[in-house]
Amino acid sequence: MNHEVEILLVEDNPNDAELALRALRKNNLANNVFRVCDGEEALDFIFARGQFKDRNKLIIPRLILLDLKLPKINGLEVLKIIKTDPVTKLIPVVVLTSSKEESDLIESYRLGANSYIVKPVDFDKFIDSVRDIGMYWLLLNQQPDIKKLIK
Amino acid sequence: MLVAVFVIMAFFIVTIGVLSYKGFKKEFRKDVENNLNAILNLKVAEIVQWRKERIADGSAFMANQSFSDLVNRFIASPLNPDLPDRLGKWLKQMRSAYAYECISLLDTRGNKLISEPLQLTPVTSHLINDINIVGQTQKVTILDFHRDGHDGPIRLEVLVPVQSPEDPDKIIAVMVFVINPEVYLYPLIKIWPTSSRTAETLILRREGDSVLFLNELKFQKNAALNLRFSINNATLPASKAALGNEGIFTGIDYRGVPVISSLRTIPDSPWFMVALVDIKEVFAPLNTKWWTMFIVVVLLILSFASIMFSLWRRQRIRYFNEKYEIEREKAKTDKDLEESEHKFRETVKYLDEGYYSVSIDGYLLDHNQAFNRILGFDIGQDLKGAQLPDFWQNPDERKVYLDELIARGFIRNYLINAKTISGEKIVVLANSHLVKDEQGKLVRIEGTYNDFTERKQAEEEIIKLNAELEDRIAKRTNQLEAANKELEAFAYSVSHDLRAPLRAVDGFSKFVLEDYENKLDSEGKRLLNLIRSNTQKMDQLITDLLALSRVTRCELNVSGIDMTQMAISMFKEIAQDVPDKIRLKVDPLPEAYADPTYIRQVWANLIANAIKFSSKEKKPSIKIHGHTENGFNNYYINDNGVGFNPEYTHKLFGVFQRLHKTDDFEGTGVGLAIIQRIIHRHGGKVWAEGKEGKGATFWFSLPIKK
Repeated sequence: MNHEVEILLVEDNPNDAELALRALRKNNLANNVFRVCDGEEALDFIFARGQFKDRNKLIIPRLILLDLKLPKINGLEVLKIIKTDPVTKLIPVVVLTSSKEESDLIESYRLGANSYIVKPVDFDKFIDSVRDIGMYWLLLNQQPDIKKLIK
Repeated sequence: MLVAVFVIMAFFIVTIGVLSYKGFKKEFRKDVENNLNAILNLKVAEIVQWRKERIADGSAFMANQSFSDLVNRFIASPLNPDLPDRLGKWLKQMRSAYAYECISLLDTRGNKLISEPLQLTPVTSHLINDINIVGQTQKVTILDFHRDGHDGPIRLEVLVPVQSPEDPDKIIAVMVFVINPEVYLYPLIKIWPTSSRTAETLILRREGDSVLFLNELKFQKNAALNLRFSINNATLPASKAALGNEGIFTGIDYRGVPVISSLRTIPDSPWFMVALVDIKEVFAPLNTKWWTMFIVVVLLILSFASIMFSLWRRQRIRYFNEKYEIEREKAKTDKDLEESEHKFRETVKYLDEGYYSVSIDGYLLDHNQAFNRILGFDIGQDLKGAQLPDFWQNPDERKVYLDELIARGFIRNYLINAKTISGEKIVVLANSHLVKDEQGKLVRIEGTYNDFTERKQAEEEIIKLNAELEDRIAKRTNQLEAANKELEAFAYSVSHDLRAPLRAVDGFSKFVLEDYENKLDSEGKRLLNLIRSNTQKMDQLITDLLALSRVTRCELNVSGIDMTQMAISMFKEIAQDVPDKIRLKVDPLPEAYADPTYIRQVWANLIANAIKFSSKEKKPSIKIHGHTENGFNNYYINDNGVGFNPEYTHKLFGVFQRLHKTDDFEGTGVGLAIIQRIIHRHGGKVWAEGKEGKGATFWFSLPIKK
């Protein structure tokens, strides 16, 4: 598991995960997607610990798609931890959630989320949203080379 | 005062009367004088004329050559029978023409040569003397009034010298024209142009120191040439005239009667004339006038006096009335006072509050029924002399109470722990004050008190209940807060979790449609698409429900809102997807004071509704209006769309209530419910008017900024 990970998808709901993956695939973004099922797994992966302790620490995802309602450690906590770490806070985090609650939106941005996308119920729209996210964060947006920073 | 006014007015009236009478009198007298003067002047002028004519008659003969020739020849040959005839003809002609009594011709010695008519009487002696004078002066001379002989008639004569034809300086004869004054002169003098009883004219001649009356008088017979008076008689008009005075003179006439007269001297004659009239007669109208004036003045004064009198009487009446009123008032006041005291006593007697009057050392002086009742006595029992301190639970408290009462002079609403005669503990609420005598010495304490026991208990009860209530409210609040939190959690969960399966249903339906496209017939595809579209509806429902619950849960952040601007911008935002055919009219709207986020949602929902329900019109039109009324800003949005059945107006704002089929118009039936909640939370109201097919008007009101 040392190949490049471009997108880390944090999603507990397998249905949603499948939908997301399909949407990514439809937009040719699914090649280097890694999916984790809860907050703990997400943090273990990012910080290369627990079940991912053997992972190459230098491999940093270029984008994290983060659901908010997660078992064990919820999305906002995950976001908080990522964004307080001097290295990982450079990774763009797009909150991808069903919640239209304003409190979630505000809290996410306060904690340093880079985007907040509500998952549309309409799958066609969902595909469009995923395409837009991928296009923007992976192709259009310029980001610093985190690997160099780690070294 | 009234008398002074009366005197002044009376004086005033009399003065006016006297002045006007005087003015009139002056005018009248002037008229009388003018009349007298005019009459006299006329007569004088005629007499002067008459005398001139007489002289002229004479002069005509004096200078007549043929006549003097005839006379000359007659004197020379008196027996020539022809001559007397011719002379006679001359004289006859002359006499008849000028109405002379007699014309005779005398020689220079005074012998009568001829006369017409024939008179055989010898020439009167005085004539011989006069002829001589005429002969010397050679002038026509008028002989004044005289009598021929002692009792003869009164005559005047004109003597005309006849000159010799040869020598004008030689007089050969004298013509005598005898004039009877009764023929012309006396009537002329006597005549008076107006009808007057006493007016008459006198003609006079001065003879030495006396004045002689020449004509007959109205009131005295035989006056002519007989009546004479001293010229020095100062009051007699005749004497005055004879002294050459002219003009108006007021005096006493020959009869001794006061007269007003006009005096004149007749020029070229020895005569004087006086025209006079009795003052009594001539001023008789003045007398009438005077009386009239007098009566008027008296009447005026009398009527004024009567007015004054009635005023005085009214004043008197009013004065007595007032006096009477005062007396009556006084009597009434005395009675009122008595009644009032009685009323007071009765009131105190039946007062619900205990009344007491107590001496400083605590002996009861007076009390009412309630006093007895509260302290547990029979209400009729007389308690005078009882010791009031006995009814205090704690005598020390009484000390404090008395100190305060004496220090301040009164005490209000003072709670006393007392006991009844049976020893039952009660609480009374007392109001007391000190009563001092005129020297300021404290004599007693008076006051009222109420049984406060029950009220005190009630108060304590209320305090207890209040505390319980507070407690309950706190509990409820906690419960409510918990419920609210639960609701929030629920909403969060709904928002999050209800969507996930929906998304799955939609997504996997799509997968099926994509992955099994070849294996699905058209019906299968249609059904899958139905599933998908229903998931969309479900999603919308969830969204709307969440919005509705959010309105209830969230706090309001109130600020001023430019409603006009907001309505227009919301319209532009919402109408983006709609063709431009909608005609929008927005009146200037009053500024609102509310939470802009929610009010924006209100506008959004209302505008969306209006657009939606008018979308099937050919010319959709929307009107937005607002005005201020009764402390509220009222706004409405009106469309010309399908409207609604007014019978269901009450259902409009209910959750999931829809008045149209989904096929006709999309919607969840939550929009208006949200609006209602938002407006209610702001303290306003929502209502709607409409008819089927006739458009709808949705109103909402917001309180004006407090």
